[in-house]
Amino acid sequence: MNARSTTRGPHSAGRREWLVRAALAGAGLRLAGVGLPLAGAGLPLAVRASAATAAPMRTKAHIVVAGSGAGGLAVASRLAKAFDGARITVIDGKTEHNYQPGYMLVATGLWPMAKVRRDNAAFMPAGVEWVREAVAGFDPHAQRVETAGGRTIDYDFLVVATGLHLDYAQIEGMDVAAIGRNGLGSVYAGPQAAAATWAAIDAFRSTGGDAVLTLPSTPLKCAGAPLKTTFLLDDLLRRAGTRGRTQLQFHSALPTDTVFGVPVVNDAVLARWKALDVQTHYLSRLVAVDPGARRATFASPEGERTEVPWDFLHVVPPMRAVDAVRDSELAWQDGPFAAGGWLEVDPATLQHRRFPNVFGVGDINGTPRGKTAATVKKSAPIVAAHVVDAVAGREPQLRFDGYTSCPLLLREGSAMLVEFDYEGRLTPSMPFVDPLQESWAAWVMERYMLEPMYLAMLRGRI
Amino acid sequence: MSELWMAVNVVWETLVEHAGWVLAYVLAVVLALFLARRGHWRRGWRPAWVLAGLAALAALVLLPGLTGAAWSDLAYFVDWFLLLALSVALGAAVLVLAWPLAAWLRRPRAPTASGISAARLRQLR
Repeated sequence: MNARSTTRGPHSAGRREWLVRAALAGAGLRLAGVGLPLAGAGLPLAVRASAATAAPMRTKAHIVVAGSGAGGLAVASRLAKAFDGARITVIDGKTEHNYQPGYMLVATGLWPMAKVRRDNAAFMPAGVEWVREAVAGFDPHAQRVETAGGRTIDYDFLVVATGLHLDYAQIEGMDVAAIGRNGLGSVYAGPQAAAATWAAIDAFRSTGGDAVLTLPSTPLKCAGAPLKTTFLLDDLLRRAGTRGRTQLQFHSALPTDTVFGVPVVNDAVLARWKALDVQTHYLSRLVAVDPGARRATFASPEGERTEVPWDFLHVVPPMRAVDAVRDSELAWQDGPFAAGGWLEVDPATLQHRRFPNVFGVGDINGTPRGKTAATVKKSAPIVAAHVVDAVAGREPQLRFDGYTSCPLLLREGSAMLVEFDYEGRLTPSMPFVDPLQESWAAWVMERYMLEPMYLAMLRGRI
Repeated sequence: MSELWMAVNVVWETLVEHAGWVLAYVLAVVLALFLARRGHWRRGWRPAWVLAGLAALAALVLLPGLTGAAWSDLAYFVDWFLLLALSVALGAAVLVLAWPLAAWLRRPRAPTASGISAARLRQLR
């Protein structure tokens, strides 16, 4: 154990600690087979009820949570309840918390931008110190985090929850500030970009024309978003009566017949696109845009470049780890996640493979799948439980299966609720519901119920 | 059971999110209960049920459209189950408000000098 100080050793690991860990595990254990999406499976009520009343573990350990997005807040909220006397520090410079799963609804005119914007302070758990500076670097040997303001903060245990970096810079000519003008859209860059994307879509749907949608080959947060954009754009055009005048082209940088990492979902999407007359191009990576001329340049793996005109272009940026992680020793040193600089965690325990007092949660993790709020919902309780284990001097007890959920919006009023694990196996929370079945219920869930779940998750209740 | 806990949290967060409307509804129910303290609860039962039933029926018909969906989007048994559940929930909410109101509206009239209500007097004549 690299931890500089663990104030209470294994001798203190008794019933009370077990109850704390059980509480933290929450949805992480798969003891029940049914549930709502984002729920996964969970503990029996009796265990949960016991856990809710369990006394916190006494410790003077200093736990730093780097980042205050969905993962950082969900873990910090649970840790604040799990410990008595611990010093918990959250480091993040942003003061606004954005409900990112709602960007798609903003970008298609279904939600106002204000609905995805909240005050971060409202979710910061009581008793937690909030350092309002961006994380600039990590020194895991010295057990130290550096901030953008030049501070260094020592830790005993670290939870990395920095999120990822949207690498628009890899696309020549791309300017995030230009989103919304000249038919340029991108839902990922933030609430303003999502609203600007809606402005571009709203203008485009009245005329129709050449719509070009893109998909990079890097790991993506909410990998369903490029697909949802395509489906909803098609729906908006049909409702506006301009679909017949529109060429809808989807450029995927992935291999032939691949737009999504889960084969059965991928096939279902492609079958629907064929019926909707969405034209697909593969091994076609967006490398440059010229918003003034409305021309996008795509490159093949061999380097062959093709210019494509657009009336509406949806840009999905390549994604990688934030600089602070990528440039530190916490990043994968080799293997498929090294190129993106992703956090080197064990996919089952989410504990760092070389620094056992470091854990990862959320988008930053270098794991096969899972960069969604649903992943955080399922993994945050496990990470918090493993921090408790680490403080108590135990090995991590729980296993994360890579659960991810993606409400795949097909049109206004209908969606598919796909849930899957690391292996790409479908893991429906409700086994009697076909995840590939189009459903109004899934639509209602996405539009009205996921945000309340998300808020409860941030507060460490689910 | 975690699903039950999840559902409780979803309902709670939804109520908090719409605290203004929830408070208005709760105040309306409290006011109705206050008015109905001398109401005729048994007489109010039937009209309250009729009103709740109409509300549930309206929800059944209107909810898909209000969520941006077409009837054809309800293509799975889960959709119909959800629609029924939401409609029943709305009907129940209306019933909770309508019953005391109906009981109040159908309260016994003020007694006359003889100590018998005017309505009863009319019956006796």
